Amino acid sequence: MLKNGLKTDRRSFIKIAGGVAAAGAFAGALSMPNVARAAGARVVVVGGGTGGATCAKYLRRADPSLDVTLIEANKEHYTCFMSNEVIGGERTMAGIQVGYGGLAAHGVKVVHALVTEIDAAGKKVKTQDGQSFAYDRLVVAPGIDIDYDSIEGYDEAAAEKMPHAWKAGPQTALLRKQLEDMKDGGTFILVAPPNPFRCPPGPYERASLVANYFKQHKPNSKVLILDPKDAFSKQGLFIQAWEKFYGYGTDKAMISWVPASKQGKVIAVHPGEMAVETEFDKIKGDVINVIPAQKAGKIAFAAGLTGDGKWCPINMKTFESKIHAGVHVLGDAAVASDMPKSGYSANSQAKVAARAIVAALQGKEMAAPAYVNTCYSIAGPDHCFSVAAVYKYSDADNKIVSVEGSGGLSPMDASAEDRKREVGFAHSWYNNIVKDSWG
Amino acid sequence: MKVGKISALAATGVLGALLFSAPAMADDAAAMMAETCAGCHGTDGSSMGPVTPSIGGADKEYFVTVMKDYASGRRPSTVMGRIAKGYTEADFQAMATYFADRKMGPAKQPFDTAMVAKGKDLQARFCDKCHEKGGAAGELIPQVAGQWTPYLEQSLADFKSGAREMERRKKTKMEELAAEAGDDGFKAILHYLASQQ
Repeated sequence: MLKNGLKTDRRSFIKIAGGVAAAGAFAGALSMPNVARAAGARVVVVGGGTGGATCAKYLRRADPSLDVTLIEANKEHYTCFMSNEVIGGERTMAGIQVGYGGLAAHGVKVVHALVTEIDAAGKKVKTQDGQSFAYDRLVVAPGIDIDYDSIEGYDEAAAEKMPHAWKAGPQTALLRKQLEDMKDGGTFILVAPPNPFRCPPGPYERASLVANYFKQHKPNSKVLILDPKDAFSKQGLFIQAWEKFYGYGTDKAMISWVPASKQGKVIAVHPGEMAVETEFDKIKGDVINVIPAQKAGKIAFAAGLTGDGKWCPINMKTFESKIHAGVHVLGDAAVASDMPKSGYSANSQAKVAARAIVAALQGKEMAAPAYVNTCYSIAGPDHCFSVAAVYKYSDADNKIVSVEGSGGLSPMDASAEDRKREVGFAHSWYNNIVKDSWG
Repeated sequence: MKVGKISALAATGVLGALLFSAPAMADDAAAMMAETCAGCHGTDGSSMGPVTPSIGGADKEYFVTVMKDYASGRRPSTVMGRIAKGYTEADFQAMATYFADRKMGPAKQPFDTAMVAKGKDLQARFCDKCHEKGGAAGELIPQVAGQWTPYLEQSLADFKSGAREMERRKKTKMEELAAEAGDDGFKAILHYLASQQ
């Protein structure tokens, strides 16, 4: 009760604070000559992941007169998508690595620095190394951060022993190394996250590809999924694949899934003992992959873009923050109703946001937006399935809604040939989305 | 030259005015719809492959027909049927116009130079009546020259298995080609199409 009371207080406080900020921005807009803003207007993009990179590129495509600066701390990006293939030993780290040269070729100014401060009223961002960038419109695409408060004993030091590998890069390489070093007959524990999180089918694809690796190289080993949920994305399709390839549900099962209702929720971890704790039990593992709860990237909190929640509320047509005018938030960090937190979503949202920004800078109403998500999961050799959705914007309730009768999952009774073809489409999707996002 | 420059300037002015008009809004809406395809089919519909086909430069009417066939299930698919059901015919028309305005970037893929000549000869005799100019043109049909080979292989497999319907004329030509040159004949044609980069 007390907790709820505090929450309400905080919410109303932010509402007031947000109102003041919005009023300030409105006054600023009135004093500005609207027409002069379009040509040569400055757009700064914070974050060079899928959403940020795509937005920067498509801003320049929509209006080549724009001065677009993308600020990203890392010089190389590792895509989260297909990082499960790295963990399963089917792809190298170089195979998920992408640079920023492509964006530069589109006329995007790429600056490698860490943004630590956003001054929404003064319309500028500051970096850790003391640079300052003024903008007319700002895009914030920080992706996710791991919520280290969500599991007792799990912190950055613990993540070096029990990697989350939910932000691709060194964590991905670490988890792969641990699996390679593991003896045959070992147990791989995957601690699944609570909703909402980046890439809903991702943990289950990872379990599948690790089991696939074990089956080929360490056949006496097991995968144990401990889940704080009772259901998960593409569940029927995953279980069908696990039955087909990994003896799921039999006494020789290589994959076991423990849902919340069977005490699957991990409440604490013990990195020293290489054990995780549920309300019921303490379970030891040889390799432990802890994927905790998630929240919007750090800068979203620092800039007050999250309100009183863990994610950023936005206008779902323009992706403009409901808290700070002139700031657009997209990708995993934003609340985009029906759209899952996926790479395809971020790529799709970024293009809509780019059009919204160009329209706003030209002082005109934006056209009706369109969004798509397609997401492939590879569960075994020549075995892949997908979920797809086509979305429209609903003016009535400012929501992104899936078009009735469209989208959905690959059918349960798809032929082996279709499952195999979807592997090809998954890999083609990867090649295309990387090129489409980073140039 | 001078006159040209002036009219170009005037046109820019007109374009600027158009930015605020209804047709420009419709173009923006069409572009946003078409740009959602790029995640799988590549920026401007030029696919990085290897299986997802390039759709940039597609014949407008062909594009609309294919999307309608995906939506109705007449053309089998893994994912496209589910996606096509999300759009109206007017949406298909709008996206078709967007892609017809673009060029297909030829697939950068390997091919066997030793098979190209044979493929070229077979293509000319069995396919070129419809897939004109070595597969680079034709009415109401896709450009197959420079298309990704693994995609074309799947299409051929679907035609052969009967999963995809063929018009009588096409079926006859495919049978004649198979009788004369067998599977190797089809392969040679694919290498010839892939050689056009």
